[in-house]
Amino acid sequence: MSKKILAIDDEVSILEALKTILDDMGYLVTTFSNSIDGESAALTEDYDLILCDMRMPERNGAEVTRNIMAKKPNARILIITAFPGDPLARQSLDAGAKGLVKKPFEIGKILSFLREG
Amino acid sequence: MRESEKYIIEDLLTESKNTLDELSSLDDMLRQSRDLFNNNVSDAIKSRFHEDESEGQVFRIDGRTEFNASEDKMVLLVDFYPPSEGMKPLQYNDVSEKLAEKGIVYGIEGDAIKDAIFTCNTEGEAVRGVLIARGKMPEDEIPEHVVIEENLNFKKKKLEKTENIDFKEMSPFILVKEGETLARRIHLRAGSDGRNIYGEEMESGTRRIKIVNPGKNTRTYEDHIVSTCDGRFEIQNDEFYVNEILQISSDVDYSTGHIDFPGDVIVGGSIQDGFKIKSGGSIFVIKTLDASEIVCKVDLNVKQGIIGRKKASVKVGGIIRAKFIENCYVEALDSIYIEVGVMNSAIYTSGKLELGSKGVIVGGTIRAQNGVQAAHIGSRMGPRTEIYCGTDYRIYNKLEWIRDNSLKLAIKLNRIDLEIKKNNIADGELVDIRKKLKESIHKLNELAGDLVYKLDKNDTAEVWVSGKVYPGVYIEICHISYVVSEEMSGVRFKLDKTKGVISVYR
Repeated sequence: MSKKILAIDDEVSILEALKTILDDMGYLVTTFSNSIDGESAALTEDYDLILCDMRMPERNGAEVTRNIMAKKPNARILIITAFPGDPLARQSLDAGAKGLVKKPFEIGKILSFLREG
Repeated sequence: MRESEKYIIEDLLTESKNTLDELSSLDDMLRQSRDLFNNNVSDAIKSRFHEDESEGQVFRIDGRTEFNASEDKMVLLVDFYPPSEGMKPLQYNDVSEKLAEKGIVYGIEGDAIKDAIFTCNTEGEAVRGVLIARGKMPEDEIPEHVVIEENLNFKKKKLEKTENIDFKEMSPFILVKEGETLARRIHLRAGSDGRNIYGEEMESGTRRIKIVNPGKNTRTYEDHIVSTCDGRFEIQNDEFYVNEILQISSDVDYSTGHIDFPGDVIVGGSIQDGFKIKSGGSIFVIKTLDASEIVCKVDLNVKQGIIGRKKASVKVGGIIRAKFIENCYVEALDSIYIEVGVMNSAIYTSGKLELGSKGVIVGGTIRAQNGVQAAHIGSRMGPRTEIYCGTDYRIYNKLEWIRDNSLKLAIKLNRIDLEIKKNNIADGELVDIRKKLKESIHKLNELAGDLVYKLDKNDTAEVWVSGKVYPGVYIEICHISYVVSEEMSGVRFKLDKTKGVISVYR
């Protein structure tokens, strides 16, 4: 059975491109450009991997991570960021994110996490 | 009797008869009165004078020759003059007798004499400057020697125009490949004595030739001397050889041009901004490496620093050693050892990045497969400093390339999908392109899927900071992330595989 991925990013073109690429690899990808909607989806559905942008207007990646991990502590979240040294990145990791992915995305790291999970 | 001689005799007879006739009339005059005689004589003398006036002075002479021997006694040139009307034409014997008389005995061209005489007599024109005798120059002995190939020319090429020439491309070094012919052996050629036109012998000598002998890294193969390695062709004193080391005593600049050398390169000065060095061995730079492009198969040693100015690129197949690196892109297949600091650079190594006891890493991205060791990482100013360990940077870079390209393709594909949907397009060029884009994305994904297994190489790699590590520094070991949020001293960052986190050890 194909693994399910949830991708949350307010940059729609990147989000859709990521979905196209991961779809082709055989994963089932659901996307949200709104962090609140994405968070809701993460709480209602089970995903093998959640990719979440760190800086979004409605709710940042650290908050989303915190909210998801509070209800689904086994969730596997990767935070997408341009600046891994950003204090928000540290907050995301502290909240339970498994790692950081450099923008727009690191295909090697995403595949590694999917294979490990 | 020859026909010409018959004509001459007939003319002579006629003239003689005429003269005799004239004298017979004189007898009659003498018998007449004295005055009449005097008048007749006077008229005759006057008439002769008038005849002389009209015809000019004519010397009737036989055919003749004039000899002109060269000062070096090697050549005799002869002018042939035809006879006056009714006079004796030139004959071969006249010339040969004159040659004998002048003692000219060697190298006589008999046919040339005959031809000149014939032309002169039949055309009645002078034939001048005919080569009649030629001596033989002595030939010196040429000893056995070696001749350097012409293409290994030490002189710098002369430039006809200075425009449109990149002087960085000009190099005074002569580089040769293994097996290339450097010189040819010329065998001994015996000399021979000469002789001048007077028959005097001229002794031969031995030609003076600068003898050069093959030296190191050369081998004689039949009559060819070939290089046994790639390197720089050099001649010193009486020896030529191939040097595997290129030593430049000054800077690498316009005086040297770019360097592309198969062996080691030693630069006595600096490498100036904009100059490239490619070495099949190691590179040693005594001063600084300044915004250059460096490619070397083995090690790079820079006594001072590597100053990249955000445009330099250094790719090394072995180890890099330098005092500092700033604003530079650096790749090394082995470890990198830096004494003082790495500033705002992109460093990629399949080994370790190790700094001196006070060495600082500030800003930039470090990808060191086997870990990093430094006194300090980051600073209070908080420049973006990212350290990645445990992964193979070459695989990572390939994956990044795949990501960039599949992203471009995917964005295009999504736009096409939108158009197709919006306009209800079922077939045509757009649909064909869409298919091709999808196929390309799939190919790239397959490639990424294969590479990802090779990405992680060393989960024992660690980041060891003997001094301070500052907030904002990002550390990643085999994809596991750690963001430094507080200043720490004397710490090691290691991957805790069981927990899947990076642990900090003090």
